[in-house]
Amino acid sequence: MGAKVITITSGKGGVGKTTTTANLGVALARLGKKTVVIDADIGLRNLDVVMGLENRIVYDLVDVVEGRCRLRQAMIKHKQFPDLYLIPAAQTRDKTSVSPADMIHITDKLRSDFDFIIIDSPAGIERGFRNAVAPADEVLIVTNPEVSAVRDADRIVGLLEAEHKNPGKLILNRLKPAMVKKGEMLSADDVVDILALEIIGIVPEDDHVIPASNSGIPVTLNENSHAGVAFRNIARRLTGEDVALMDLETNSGFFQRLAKFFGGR
Amino acid sequence: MAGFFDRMLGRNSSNKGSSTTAKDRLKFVLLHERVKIAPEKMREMKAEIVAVIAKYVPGIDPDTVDIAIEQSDRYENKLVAEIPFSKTRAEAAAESDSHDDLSVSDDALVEADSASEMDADLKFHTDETIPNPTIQNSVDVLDEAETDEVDD
Repeated sequence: MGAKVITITSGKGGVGKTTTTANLGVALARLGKKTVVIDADIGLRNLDVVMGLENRIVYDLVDVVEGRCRLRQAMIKHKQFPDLYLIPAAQTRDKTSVSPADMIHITDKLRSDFDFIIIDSPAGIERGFRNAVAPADEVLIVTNPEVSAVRDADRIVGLLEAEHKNPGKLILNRLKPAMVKKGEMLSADDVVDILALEIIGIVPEDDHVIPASNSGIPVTLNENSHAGVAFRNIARRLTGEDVALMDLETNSGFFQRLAKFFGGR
Repeated sequence: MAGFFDRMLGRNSSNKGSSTTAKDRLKFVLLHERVKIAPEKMREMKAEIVAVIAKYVPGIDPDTVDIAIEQSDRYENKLVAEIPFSKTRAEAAAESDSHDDLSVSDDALVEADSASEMDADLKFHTDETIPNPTIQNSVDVLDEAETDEVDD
């Protein structure tokens, strides 16, 4: 049957869709899966810079759709991971240059050659979102533990239902365990309870993420990064492996607290 | 010392924190968004429902009526209404008499109200088996209908 098409979406902007797409692409390729990531945010191309591939773009998604190049010509091969390809978004066009049918057509052509096709959806719930979701076998909804992001995630669930898609799975990004512990941030349990969705990953807030974007090397390649580990775990779950959710409060056990208390900290 | 035990047991000794508020607010707003009934519309609907019921059932106190959306999961919603009978007709009549009597203080009235409410709850269940009050009500309704026609 070939590749599984996974769309990364969120409703709200700035919650980490592009970071998630880049990291899952790299993590899946590292697991030996043939993967292509598609930037569906026409007009606001960004997946290329986050992945460090911005200088190698010749053709883009709209060029493929409008027949200016063959699909293969728009696919940029990652130097470090030859199993990983990027199809960049057009920079000078808008979302109406691509239709949901175009996206289905393109992914259908790729399915036989790949294990995973990951689509980075634009923010919002209009045409760009519908383009990104149209070919999806599975939708991953990225949210942050914050009222506006959670509310938008719920809207996405409603829209997926309207499009007769599966309900989607949740990635809770930028969680701060210390704030959760103080009761000043929604916990993963809270968000799951509110949205009634299956959760596929919890990614902690991590200072390694921005430097990774700065240098175009996805954070999942940084072995010291908790966020990197979290993205790797999500990739493993996508391949069907059973990986327990990360324990983000490793020092919350009774004995650790006891040690801390008598350790005088 | 309580703080010490709280810390050892991992309890948060301070107030609950804003995350509880966030969760409550989100649950409320999403509930209404999912069923596409705005809270304001719910209030209007509740007022109308109360008005209709009050037309047939005497002694309904709008403040005690609770009509809410109940959601067991995302796709299973129901409107749940709890409409207590606060007074029987006889008590309501007796009370409107006593309202005319200005010697009753406000405080006394409040107490009388809450007392009769408790009575009414019990009476409601027992009254159900007795046919008389039903007949009484339907006569009232007929009366009203006739007056309406005259007005037209």
